[in-house]
Amino acid sequence: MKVLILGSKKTKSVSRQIEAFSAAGFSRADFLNIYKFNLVSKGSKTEVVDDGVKVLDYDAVYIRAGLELSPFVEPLLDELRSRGIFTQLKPGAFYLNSNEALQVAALNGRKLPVAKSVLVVDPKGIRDSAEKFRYPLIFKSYVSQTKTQSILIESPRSLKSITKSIKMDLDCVILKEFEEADLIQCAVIGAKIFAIRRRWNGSEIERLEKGRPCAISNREKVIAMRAALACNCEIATVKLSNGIVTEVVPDINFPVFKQKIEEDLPKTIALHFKSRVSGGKLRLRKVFPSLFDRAKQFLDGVFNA
Amino acid sequence: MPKLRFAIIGSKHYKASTVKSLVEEGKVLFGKVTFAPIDKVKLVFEGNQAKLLFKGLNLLDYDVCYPRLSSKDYVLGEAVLKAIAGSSVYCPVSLRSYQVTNHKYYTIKELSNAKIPIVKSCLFTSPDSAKQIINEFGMPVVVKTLSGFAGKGVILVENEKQLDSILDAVHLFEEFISAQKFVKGKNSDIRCYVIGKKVIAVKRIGKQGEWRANVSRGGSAEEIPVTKEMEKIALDSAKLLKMGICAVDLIETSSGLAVIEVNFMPGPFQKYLGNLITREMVGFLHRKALERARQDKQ
Repeated sequence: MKVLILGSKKTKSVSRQIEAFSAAGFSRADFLNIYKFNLVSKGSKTEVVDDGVKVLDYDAVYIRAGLELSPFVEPLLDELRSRGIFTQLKPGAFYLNSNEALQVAALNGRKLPVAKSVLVVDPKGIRDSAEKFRYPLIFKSYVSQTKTQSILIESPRSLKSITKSIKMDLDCVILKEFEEADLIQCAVIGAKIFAIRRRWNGSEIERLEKGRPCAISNREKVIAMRAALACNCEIATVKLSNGIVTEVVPDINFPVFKQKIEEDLPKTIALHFKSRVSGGKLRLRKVFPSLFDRAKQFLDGVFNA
Repeated sequence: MPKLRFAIIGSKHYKASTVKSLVEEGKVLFGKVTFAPIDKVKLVFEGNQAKLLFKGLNLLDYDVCYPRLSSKDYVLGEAVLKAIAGSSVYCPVSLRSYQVTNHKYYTIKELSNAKIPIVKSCLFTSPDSAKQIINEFGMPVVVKTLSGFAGKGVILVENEKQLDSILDAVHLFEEFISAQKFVKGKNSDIRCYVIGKKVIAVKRIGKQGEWRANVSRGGSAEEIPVTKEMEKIALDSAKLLKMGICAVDLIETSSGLAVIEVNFMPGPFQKYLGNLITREMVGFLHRKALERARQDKQ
């Protein structure tokens, strides 16, 4: 079994992960800079052209790239999946996690608890909707993928003055009810969940570095796992507050979790990859890709008819 | 006949003449049409429910919703498409088709893997790797920024010197680029509108001195007979991307027709085709709404 870590930088945590993959029994574990990659489509096939590394020879690829690379990563995820190569992210994961508006819609679509929210383009349109909201509220504004503002609003008066003060053209405004409660930051690795509690001190949530490991209820575990999957991730950070999902990030803050949690997260990840790669379905797809695709097309046809 | 509700969700920068034509045709079949520009809608999530509100009306309660969104609308647009997918309203496009067709290379990759003829294309992560691959393609090449539309962000590169300066500029603006082999020939291409199972073929001819055939860049258009080849490529592309309405742009190559790109929000070229395209679009949406209504009754 061979695994490739694909990222933009070979950090310490990447090196530790390579060691963990080797210790878990992978015959090869390598790192490759994502900027060395190109995708070329010609005739009826797509090639992953890289710096001499044959990506398609690997059984699994662990994506550790930033969300800003989604225009490149999304077609790559799709290609890897169609070749039967396991990744911890399903196609669509980068799109889902780089657009908060879409993430809220996806979580809500899967009947997961999300804060009462309203999403608009024109901030003036938000005031009347907010009448039925419970304060405080979080006001976030976006221009493209960039968050331009994130403010905690205590009263309708503050909301009015903020919406009035915006002069620039925005792409989206998200207004959410804010839970005045501790934040539970969960590292989700398949079915395993490790949590750190970040205290709410009445005016702000403490930094992750100050948080403490904590046990969470089975209900919270299920929510965290379902939230990660709703965002097409098998490995992710899920933030919960009062049982409500506030954010999903398709990565884990390894340095902080390493300090706080006794568990060896790289080892847990390596074992998760091992169990997923050993699964028969992916193997079959890798060995018989055309047969697999034909069977899938047939079944799609039957179900769509 | 049941009273059916039809909504069009427009782009922030919608084209008034296209909307007018869709609304006119919509009124003929549906009686009433709600046109909601995306910057005037509100998406509300409460409990496990989603509401897409426009002037107090929940568009997710409608029978048909036709989002005509450009790549510029993606932040709220993607969320709107996701919410529509979770409702029972009929929509001829999907979130995935929006994401894929707004990514020029992704579209080509998907079609290529499904054995639909395409023009050789590639996607790069850095200017250095771009140079290497483009040189293998051979000049000239068409370099496209992923976020471009209506012929914008599309550059014909004829030599290495031009390529260097273009790659520098693109890198500076942190744009991802794809490149496509340039097919030499007339400055024309074929747009195949796919509306349900119907294909309407239109030849687009670029204005003199312009290598791009886009009508929005001063080109012209005329309806042409649909060949079996055009029909197959266009219908297969639309089916693969799960689109009830789209336009598939084709170019004549030495080995036959090949896809250049697929359009999520095709313009109806009213100057040349009148209301032909919008009438077909609305007719298709009305048939779908009737089908749904019949199914609901059963």
